[in-house]
Amino acid sequence: METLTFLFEGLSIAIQPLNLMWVTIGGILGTLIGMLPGLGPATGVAVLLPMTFVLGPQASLITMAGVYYGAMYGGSRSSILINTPGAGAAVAATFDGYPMTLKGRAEAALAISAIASFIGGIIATIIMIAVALPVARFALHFGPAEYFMLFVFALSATASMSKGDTIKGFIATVLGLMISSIGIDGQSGVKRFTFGVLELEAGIDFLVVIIAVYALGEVFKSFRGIAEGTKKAQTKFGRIWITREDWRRSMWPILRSAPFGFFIGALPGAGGTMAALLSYSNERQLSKHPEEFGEGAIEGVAAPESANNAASVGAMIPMLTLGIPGSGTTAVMMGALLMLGLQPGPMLFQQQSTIVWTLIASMFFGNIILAFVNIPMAGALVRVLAVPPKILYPIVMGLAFVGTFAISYSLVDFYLLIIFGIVGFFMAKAQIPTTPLILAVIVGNSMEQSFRRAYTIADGDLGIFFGSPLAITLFVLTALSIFGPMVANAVRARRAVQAA
Amino acid sequence: MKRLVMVVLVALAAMGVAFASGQGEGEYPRGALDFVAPGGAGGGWDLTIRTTARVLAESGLVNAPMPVRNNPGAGGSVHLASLQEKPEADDIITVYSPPLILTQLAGTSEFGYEDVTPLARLIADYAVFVVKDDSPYRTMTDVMEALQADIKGVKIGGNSSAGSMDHLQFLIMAKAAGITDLREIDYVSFDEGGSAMVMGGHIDIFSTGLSEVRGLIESGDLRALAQSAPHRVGEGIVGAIPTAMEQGIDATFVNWRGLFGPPAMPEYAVQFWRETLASMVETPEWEEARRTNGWDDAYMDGPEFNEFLSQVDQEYRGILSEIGMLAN
Amino acid sequence: MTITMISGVMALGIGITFTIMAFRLPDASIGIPFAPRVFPAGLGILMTTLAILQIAKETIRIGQTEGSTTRDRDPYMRKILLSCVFAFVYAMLFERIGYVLSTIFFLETELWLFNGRENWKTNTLVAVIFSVAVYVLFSQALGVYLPRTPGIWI
Repeated sequence: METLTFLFEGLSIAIQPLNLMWVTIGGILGTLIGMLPGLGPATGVAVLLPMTFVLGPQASLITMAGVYYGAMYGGSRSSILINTPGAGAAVAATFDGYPMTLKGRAEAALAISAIASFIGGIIATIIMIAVALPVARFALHFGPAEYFMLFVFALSATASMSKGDTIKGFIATVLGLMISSIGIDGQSGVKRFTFGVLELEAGIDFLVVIIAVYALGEVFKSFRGIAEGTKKAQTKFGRIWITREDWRRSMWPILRSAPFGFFIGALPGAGGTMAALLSYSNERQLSKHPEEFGEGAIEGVAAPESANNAASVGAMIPMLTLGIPGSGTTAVMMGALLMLGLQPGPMLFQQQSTIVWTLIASMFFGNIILAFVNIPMAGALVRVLAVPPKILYPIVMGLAFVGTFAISYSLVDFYLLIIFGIVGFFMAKAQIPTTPLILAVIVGNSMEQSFRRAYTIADGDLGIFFGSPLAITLFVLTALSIFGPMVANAVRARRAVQAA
Repeated sequence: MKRLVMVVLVALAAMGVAFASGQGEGEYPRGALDFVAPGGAGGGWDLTIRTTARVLAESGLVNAPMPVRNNPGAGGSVHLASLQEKPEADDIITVYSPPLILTQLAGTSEFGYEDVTPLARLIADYAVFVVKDDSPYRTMTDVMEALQADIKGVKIGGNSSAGSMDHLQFLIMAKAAGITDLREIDYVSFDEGGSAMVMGGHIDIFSTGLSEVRGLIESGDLRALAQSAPHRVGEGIVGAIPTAMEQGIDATFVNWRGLFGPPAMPEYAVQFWRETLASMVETPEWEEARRTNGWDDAYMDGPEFNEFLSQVDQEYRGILSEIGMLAN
Repeated sequence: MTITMISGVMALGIGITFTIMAFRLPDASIGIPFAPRVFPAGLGILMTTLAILQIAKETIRIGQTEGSTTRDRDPYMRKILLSCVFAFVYAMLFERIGYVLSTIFFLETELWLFNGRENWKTNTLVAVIFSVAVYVLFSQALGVYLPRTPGIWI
């Protein structure tokens, strides 16, 4: 009951016109920043950080939350339109979003992405209000062994997703893991495969690989499409909305992915990218038409969008309740809280309940406002496709480079970008799937490090990986993700035989 | 028409000359300064240099613009290397902390504290060693005794990689407590969120900075065994954390942060910054900034700071060579 | 050689090289000495195995469908390679001559590849507007550092 009182207090503050204005401004700025490749929510929040001095705690936190969610919305805009994810969490939006654009359905893709983000955000906020503290406590059960099993699950779910050639899917996974093993090994301080290049010691940022493989790979491919006339500018634009059929297909995936994404987001270090990719592979397995995934299935956009927005809400939980940042963005937000003289942690809810609940309430309004702002914005953005491809693709190239530079201000990343662009192009030629590569680059290092942590903690006893109900559950899920599709295929084949 | 073009060109050239010569004269600092955080936005270095720039501007001590640039990479080594290319620049001001020394000792960077010009030490944070609320360890001495009985029996965690700060600060304590086989102590490195691991009971003790776990100490979820400051720092529950020295472990660890210039910064610039920073730490704005960020005052003038750096360099060197991680 | 065969051979090369390099990694001075090598070495061996499987599978496939070893060459390979060369030049110029100038150069060359030399007016317009607009947006509005051209305000 007490929670409700606080909530209403928060709602009444968040709905004040001035605060609504801040969340709107933050949301629009965030969307714009999020669309630029390389500039994700973390940079957006960091850039607006200095503002916190001027606005005062409440308004600045509200604005930052707006920026955060805006960037999550914005990130997938460029994924859908130009195959260039604005941030890690938007990778999954390229899988089906860009094929939809190629089929002339960009409007529907943009609309479902906004709708799914909106619903995902709202559901996650409701869950957060109800169970913030218990979820935070539960997440503590995740130790290194559990994280390791979670990463293994994510990898196997994605690798088994690769169409057709399993060997090629595994080659892509291993290549990704190799890339992720570059850099200083945290457990021993040993430098691995850095070749004396300072910039490589912190490892290769997965965003560089993503931008290279998707954006540059697409640019390289487009030479042919343009010359042969298969790639043309879009001339007719429809309304940014979806059909009844689209909604029927997307509704359940959106509703399922929201709580799932929320929980993944609440695990410190797992984050929106994992949430989006896992929900994508879940939906693919649950779908009656798995073969349509990757070819422009609308639920392939809806599910990850819902999950990653829900994850961004979930990521606030460890930060607010325990003072542990769960992602790069929340780490920056935590810095802002500290600068405002607020100490994130279990006491924050008690000592500063008004501020916390205002923040939660503004997530609510923020999502509503963002959905309203984003649909007309998408209507303007989609006109990008009216630019002739022979001008659009060089611009995509320019954006890819400036975005890469903004990640860590390093020229070494430029060379990596070119190298991985070529790798991505070659992989596409050889029909090696790129998704397993991307996921492996994202989780590879954490996976190995988690294994080594668990190994040290258990003094070399491998039993630790089956030492808790959580770890065993994750193991079972992994087995299901590998063998599930096989069984499903067998059943389907049998039915087909019986029907014939 | 041609004439007009010529006139315009001559006028532009004249303006260019005037602009260029205008930069060469007058008092230091002229034109915009280049404040650099060698780490990413929102991190400790970033926060320090941005706060410094703000206080300098607000208090009117520096009137030139002080935009902050981030140049992250390899624990600050990337920026350190780029500083060597402009050794005599008078406009680059940068911030560093113990990794300045540690990256060189670990072999990540060929440069170290001798390749920059110390201007002033400004603030300090201290290490704190925390356990879960129901942990059997009540004091730092308990932990050390347990380690002496079974060196593999206590798992230490930290948020930095092996051989860097969180690891080192614990080893300094262990060494002072008389543990000889430092190399055998198990240290588990987490990228972030190590505090969740100690709360979840996955590691026994967590070695970190005071500001990272203050909230969890105040709420009682974590219990602090010791802080590494020479004297008790902080207010309330945090101020009640005993120092390691009080517990008979004769060691301190200071996570200092100070400002530096390029290796051969001109004397007039060094002089300017030593004086300016000395005045800055006296301003109420600085006091206020320190208080909100929970930074301890650790002001030290350039030459003295240099002395201090060579001392800690020796100390870190000793520990790293004992665990076999000394590279340079 | 088919593209699948080429990719198999490349994977084999990567696998073997990576394995050798993994075994040459230095010992860890704390904990288990060989710990930093285990994961990379495993990856190298796994890659080698997968590559051999891939090559074997492809050999069998080619054996079954004799003579169909057509080589799918991208007719636009030259443009792709040129594109990469320009990108390398761009990277080298980037910090020396500043963001705006180097980007104008880079876009000009890319547009030349895509849009043709005869449309140089449009190309230049696009290149200049893009470079300046991005510079203003990133550097001035967002405070994201981009290298300046020495001696010029931008």
